Amino acid sequence: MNAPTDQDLVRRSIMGDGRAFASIVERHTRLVYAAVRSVTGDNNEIDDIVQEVFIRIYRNLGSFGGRSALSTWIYSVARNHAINAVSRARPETVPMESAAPLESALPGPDAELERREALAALERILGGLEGRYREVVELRYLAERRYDEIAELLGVPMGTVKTLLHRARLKMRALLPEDDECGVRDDERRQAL
Amino acid sequence: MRDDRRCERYEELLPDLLDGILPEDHAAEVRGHVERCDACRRSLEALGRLERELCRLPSLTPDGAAVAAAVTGRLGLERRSRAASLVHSLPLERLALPLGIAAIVLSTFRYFGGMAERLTAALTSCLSGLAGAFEELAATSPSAVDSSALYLSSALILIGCAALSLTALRIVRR
Repeated sequence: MNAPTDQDLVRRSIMGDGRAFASIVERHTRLVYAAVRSVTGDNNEIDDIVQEVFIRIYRNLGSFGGRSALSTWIYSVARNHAINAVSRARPETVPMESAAPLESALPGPDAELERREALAALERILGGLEGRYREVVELRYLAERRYDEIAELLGVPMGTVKTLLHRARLKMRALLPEDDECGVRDDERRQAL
Repeated sequence: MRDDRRCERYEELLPDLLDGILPEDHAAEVRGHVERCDACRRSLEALGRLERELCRLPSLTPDGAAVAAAVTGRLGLERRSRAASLVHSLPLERLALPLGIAAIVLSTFRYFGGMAERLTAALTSCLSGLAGAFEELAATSPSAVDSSALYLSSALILIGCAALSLTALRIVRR
């Protein structure tokens, strides 16, 4: 059976179908994380902000007219919400409503600590990127979007995406620590070589 | 040995080589250069290392199912299907009690009143739109009407019990 389209899921969500909205969330989780991270960087409130984004999306599904792709609309909502969250948090540290715990993402304290450390290490590399550079990198690596999809989300030509990504890689390469502990995609690099 | 102008050109192509989007003849040319040039090889190795680091991002991010569960929980949305949502939206709670009482009263008439049979038969006729057929049936075979009324009464008792159970269940769950 074919997977339901985004439009189907939106229509069913508006009718109160919780399972349809859960599917929308599952499909777009990484996109929303990418949008939020490109504004806030990695921080402790990111899970909360992402959940707030999806709550906002649910409450405004009726205003999604289908003129653009659902992912484009969600990306725009997510970025705007993240910008507001950052500006809200700056004058004083007002705690937001607590995020619901993400049980399957937290297998245990040790694993969570390891995850936080890995993210902090990546943030040392990504933190040097600003604006569009960071957006493109988050969309490419976290949301795992193709060049043409990134171009559509950002409203720029595909050549611009390639240029931004190339420059971002050069900037990040300069910040990369010398030690190499990660074994992921080793085989791919060997193939490239 | 590094040749700045050539290396600059090849360096531009290294990310495409890693992405695997370089046409094969170009890729072979770049690989050939990288084998001969230490600077470009180091550059490619650094880009590969960066690539591997960045490719960890998805695995370090909460998965969609966990986020969906948290969000639907915060919204108070049960993860139910559209059909279940439609059933849920019906005013069963308000209808269950009167429906149950009416069903049991009607079925009681069937057993304890001489009028009950006629009342039940008339109700059956009205509901089914087959009043004429029933009158004819009553004239020719009164026992058939009696059997129909018995079946209807039994069905009504079952509906009544189900409706009352539903009401009781909802009260207990509160």
